[in-house]
Amino acid sequence: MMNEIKLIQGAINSTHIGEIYENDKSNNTGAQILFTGKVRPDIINGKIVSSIEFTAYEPMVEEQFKILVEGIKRKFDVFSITLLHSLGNVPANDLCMAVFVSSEHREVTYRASKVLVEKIKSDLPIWGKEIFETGEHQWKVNKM
Amino acid sequence: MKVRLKYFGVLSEKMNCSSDTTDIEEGTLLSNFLNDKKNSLDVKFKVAVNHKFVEEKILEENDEIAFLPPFSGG
Repeated sequence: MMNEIKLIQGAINSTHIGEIYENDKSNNTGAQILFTGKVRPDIINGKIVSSIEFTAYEPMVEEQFKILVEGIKRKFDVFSITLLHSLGNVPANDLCMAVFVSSEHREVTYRASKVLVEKIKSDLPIWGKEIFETGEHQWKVNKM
Repeated sequence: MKVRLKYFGVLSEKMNCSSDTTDIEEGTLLSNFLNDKKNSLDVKFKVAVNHKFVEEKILEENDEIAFLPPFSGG
């Protein structure tokens, strides 16, 4: 089954999402979960986040993704895993991440999806710089 | 011999560059090299050599040493 990671310049749009579903060609798929993450217009010390600029250590992201997928597949009986993640500037309220998992049944798909999203956030060398409306910035810190 | 250095996130800002090269003596251990670097980098970071996390190794010509602050994708 196909497992794929794509780093996309700018925001993730509905065409990208549509392609994920088109690529899931397993005949036995009975459950599909798509998790999407958006850029939140957080207010930090009175300043509004207007966008996040993402950078990545791309060759290592790809290697870490392979390791992560192998780990998930050892633990869960899933068919395909797809990750889309933005690079560059993504405005507030736009999508910056999409994580897709398919399997035969819903329970394993739910569980695999949750583990996968957490591992993507903790294990992939990607960084976000929060840009405020004032033009100032700070480096994002991931929370639960 | 030369090794390549890569800085990401807040470290690229602190170092004012995202990549660099430096000369080191043959047979230098990663840990010894890092002890020297840690004094100039006052941020928590992990290290990868040639795209992989490593605890220790003897550095080789043209190795790519990446300084990775806490990840914040997603």
